[in-house]
Amino acid sequence: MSDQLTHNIQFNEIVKPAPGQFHGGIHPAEFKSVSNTQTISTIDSPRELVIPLKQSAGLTATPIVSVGDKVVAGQLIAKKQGAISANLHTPLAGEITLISPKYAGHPSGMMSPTVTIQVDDDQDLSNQKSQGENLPKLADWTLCEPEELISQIALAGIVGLGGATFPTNVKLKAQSIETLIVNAMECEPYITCDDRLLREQPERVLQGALIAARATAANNIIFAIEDNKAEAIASLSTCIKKFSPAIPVSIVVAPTKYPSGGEKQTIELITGQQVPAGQLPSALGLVIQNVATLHAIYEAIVNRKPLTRRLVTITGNLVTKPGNYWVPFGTPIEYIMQIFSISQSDCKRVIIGGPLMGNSITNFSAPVTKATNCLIFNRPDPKEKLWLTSATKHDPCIRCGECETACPVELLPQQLLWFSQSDQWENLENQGLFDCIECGACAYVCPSEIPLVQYYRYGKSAINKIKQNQINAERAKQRFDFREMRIARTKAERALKHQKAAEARQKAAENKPADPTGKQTAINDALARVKAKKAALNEPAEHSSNPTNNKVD
Amino acid sequence: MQELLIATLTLVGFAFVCGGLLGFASIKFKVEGNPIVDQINEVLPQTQCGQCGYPGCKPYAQAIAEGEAINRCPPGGEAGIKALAELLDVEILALDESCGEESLPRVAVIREDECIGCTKCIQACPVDAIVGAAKQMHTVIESECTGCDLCVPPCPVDCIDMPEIEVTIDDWQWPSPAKTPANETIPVKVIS
Repeated sequence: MSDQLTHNIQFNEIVKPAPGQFHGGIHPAEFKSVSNTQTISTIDSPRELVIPLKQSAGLTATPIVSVGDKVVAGQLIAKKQGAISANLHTPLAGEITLISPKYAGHPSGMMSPTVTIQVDDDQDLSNQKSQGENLPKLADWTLCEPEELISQIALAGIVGLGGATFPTNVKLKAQSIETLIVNAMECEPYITCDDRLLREQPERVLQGALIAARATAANNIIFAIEDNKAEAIASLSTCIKKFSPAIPVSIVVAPTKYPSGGEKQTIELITGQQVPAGQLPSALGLVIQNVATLHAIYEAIVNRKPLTRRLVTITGNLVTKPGNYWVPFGTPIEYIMQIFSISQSDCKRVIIGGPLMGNSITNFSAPVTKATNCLIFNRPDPKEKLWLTSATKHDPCIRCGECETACPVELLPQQLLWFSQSDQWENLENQGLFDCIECGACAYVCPSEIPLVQYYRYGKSAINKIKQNQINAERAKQRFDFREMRIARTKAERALKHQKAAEARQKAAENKPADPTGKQTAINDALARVKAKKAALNEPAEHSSNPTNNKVD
Repeated sequence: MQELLIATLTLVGFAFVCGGLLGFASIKFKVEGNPIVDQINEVLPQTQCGQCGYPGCKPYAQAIAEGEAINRCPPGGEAGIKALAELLDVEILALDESCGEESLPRVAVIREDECIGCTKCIQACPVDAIVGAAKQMHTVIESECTGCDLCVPPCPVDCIDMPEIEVTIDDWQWPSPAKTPANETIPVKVIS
């Protein structure tokens, strides 16, 4: 595997080759040309939107509209809840018809809360004004304080559009940042939305990057890009020259290799340094943002538009006009299939995301969300080898070690497999399971076609569950101990009270003056008198009886 | 004779020094209670349900330390027995069925309109997860409930249900490929 630049790129003071490299990686067929020749366009607006309330990492947003409400394009429909969560806005005007759980593309097939909107007929998606300008007006962003920019980004509901959907405002709050890295690697096959965006609207992305740099107080910007995107590099470097930004902006070109777009892999390529396990890039003074996210930041700050749509690569051999399209969030996939005349009988399943890290689903009612960067509709190939999730269908591991050479995080995938198969959680964790980025490079090279990533996901969720149970058990233990303590305390208190009362009684008895009121004396006197009387009565009686007796005698 | 004396005295001296050190250590590093009891208690699920026949997890941990069987904890289940066996280096046993069966986690739910406010369940709850007052409706703090069943028998009107906790989208777990039915597939390798 050569890690040399394979494409012809002109280097200059702006465009530089990447100084670092990362371990392993793979070179799958790219399938980028399927969709990257079409210019960006929009799709006709759907009749109905199904907007999931959870479209970001963290907590589900709380809906602030109710059934029957009329909403205008760009209106806030759900508020973020807690620190890690994101606002949601409706992309189109319409009426709320339903707030209920629906299928939203989760790999479990489970339903999640959604808001359904019946879209009004009289709107045109291509008309930019109908997109709404619902965010507060800001002064010129070059004069804004970082906090103002970050709060506007939070209001706009912007999350990482590379796929992780982590709220951008939280990420930008990181302290002591020196460099903003723009992740334009887009290393996964089929996906071309960032490539197209950089080719067509580099000035917006660049401005978005400058805004993000201001928000984090970064003093330079590096665009990280693979060498298979020569057009994007050219258009971006022209734009940088024309714009002559206040802080240094450069483009660093890395050889095309999957997964160079993984956050930690990008950093290794650009800086030659590794982010320590379990830490964030901010540990190295870096913050990393995706191209589409920066475009969204530009829209929020300069055009006051909340995040309501995204660029989606719609591709695959079943699509009539594969390319990149602005798709409003909540657009059902079955509607997209209708537009591109894909019949459900031809297409058994759609891959959401890339072919290596995405999910394939068969329920086409799932909507496009903030995380959906790519939709792949491929005709099932009879010769295509399906990757089976069942252990009974794949071959056993032959210990060839291919996976180890491919792993970009330098883990030992076959060891992880053994431990996951035998539920050895502690060993699994010690082998660095949680450093696995689930890129699928190991599974791609595996000659036995073992669904390795499935095993790791299984291990990760099992370990997380165990940890959660431990936390719960610890809390239950504390509550139980507290209750025991409380019961013992109440008992002791009661015993003490009884003892005190008894003591008090005794003391009272001792200290009491013999007869404070004279009653006792009176009683005693009376008793004594009675006794005396009795005695007196008995005495004469005895005397008298004797004489009587005597008399009788 | 002198060599013998020197050797004896050296050894005696050495013995005294060691004895002194050990004596000091036994006072300085004295461990209160039996540490193994705490370790066992860590492994137990802390439902405090008493199905093992002891009034709570800690007393059972104490009993295990004194030689009680490790297979008397249904909420801990097979995994719990395995962990205990590993900790104590004893053989893994099957769950003692006289104590109960391993079941999915449950949570107590009071049918609130039927509650008469007798406070009996509040007194029975080992983790103080029921709130309410005399002649007032009671309710269960679900996040704190361990699903131990102890509140069910004291209820005079039988208004407490113990439904299984439903899996939500947030705590859903990826299935193991080794335990996945053979017909479920993910067609990821469409490239190449």
